[in-house]
Amino acid sequence: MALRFTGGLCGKLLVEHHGLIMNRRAFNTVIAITLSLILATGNLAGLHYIDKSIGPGNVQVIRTALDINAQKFTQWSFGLIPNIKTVPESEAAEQRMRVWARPGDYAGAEFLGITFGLSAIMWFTWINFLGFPGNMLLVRQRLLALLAAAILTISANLMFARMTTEFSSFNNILSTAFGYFSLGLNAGGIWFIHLLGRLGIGQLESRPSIPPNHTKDEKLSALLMSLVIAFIIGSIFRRVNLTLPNLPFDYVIWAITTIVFFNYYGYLPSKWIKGERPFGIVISIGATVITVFVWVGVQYFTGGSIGAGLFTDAGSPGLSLMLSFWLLFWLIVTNFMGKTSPLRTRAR
Amino acid sequence: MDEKREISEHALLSLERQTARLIEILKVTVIVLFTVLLSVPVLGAFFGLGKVTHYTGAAWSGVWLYGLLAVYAVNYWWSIMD
Repeated sequence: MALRFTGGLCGKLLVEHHGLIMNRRAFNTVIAITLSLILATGNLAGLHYIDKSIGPGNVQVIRTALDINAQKFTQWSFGLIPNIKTVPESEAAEQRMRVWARPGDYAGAEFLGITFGLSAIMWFTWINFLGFPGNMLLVRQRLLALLAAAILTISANLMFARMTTEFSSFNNILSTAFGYFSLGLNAGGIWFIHLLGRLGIGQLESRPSIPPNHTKDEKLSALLMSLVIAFIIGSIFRRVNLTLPNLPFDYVIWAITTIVFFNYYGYLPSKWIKGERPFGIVISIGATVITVFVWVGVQYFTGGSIGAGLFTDAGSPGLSLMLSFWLLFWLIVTNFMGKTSPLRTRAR
Repeated sequence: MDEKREISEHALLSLERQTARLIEILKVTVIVLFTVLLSVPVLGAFFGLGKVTHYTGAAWSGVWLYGLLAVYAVNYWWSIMD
């Protein structure tokens, strides 16, 4: 994948014209973080707008019609986009309509800290794939790949939603299928852009990067150990009721975070203290803690309408996912900052 | 038989590119296969056991996230970071 870092135009200008205000790498990192947070905000704000437009007490249902045998069937455009109408909840209940979404099923504002975390990871990955700020070669091909990933994730998620409608008897289709729709969209976005990158889109060189054989044993051990560690961490969080019952994927997020940590900082603890790695680890953990407290503040000042499931009346069920998602985000950021390299090859 | 085989620069480059292409295809295959494999129990719980047991869960998000597990595991397996 095009995840390599080179000096950026903006940073170069800043350094050359204003003297050394900020390290170019640090400047580019700040730009990338800011941009990804802005894009994630736009992403979630759009979905939150849909949530708000349903209105309290209303639900979205799929329009139905009768076929030749007088059986109800749901109506879809292009086989994927449901024909939706908004009705009062009581009417949907008494006419036994199939509920597509309730207010809050798209963005998940009550647990926005969690959905926003995944969205931030997706936008940071996409910016990183684009090579902005930094290596902007092949930008047209990479933009096309991003467009393809967006179309693929939207259509695949709509397909999943339709499968849920057709093959399960559950009501509240979006929340049954995805928890919150933004989770499906953003996770699919990350998956597809990695896949398209692996298929060679937007790459300048096609040289095989074959890892040395002596690391194979270590990597196998690390992959298995990451599952063990994720199981232990997930079980502890579940035991002390710090997980959300409607989002049961905290084990797999902890496994991903552990694997990413081993990838960037090494499996053996002796590698964690090499080069700039200790700074990277400290930045990751510190920024995660700060982020969690920022979300506690957001939840406090919005009265819980926008929150993260922390310090509520029902305890802190969002803590496991908040920590794992934001730790993953900051680990990816510290890799972008170059804090994962064990050797200082040149002055940064 | 003693003489060394001459391999042209072009042949080497071609071999290298074929290797790269094969490796990338292998990576994508592993990602897709593991995504499907890991999501089988989730989908089973979602579709099959819905009538028998109590199941509430974000099924398709779970599948995407198992897919990300496969992605990051493959990235780790093929990374040259020490």
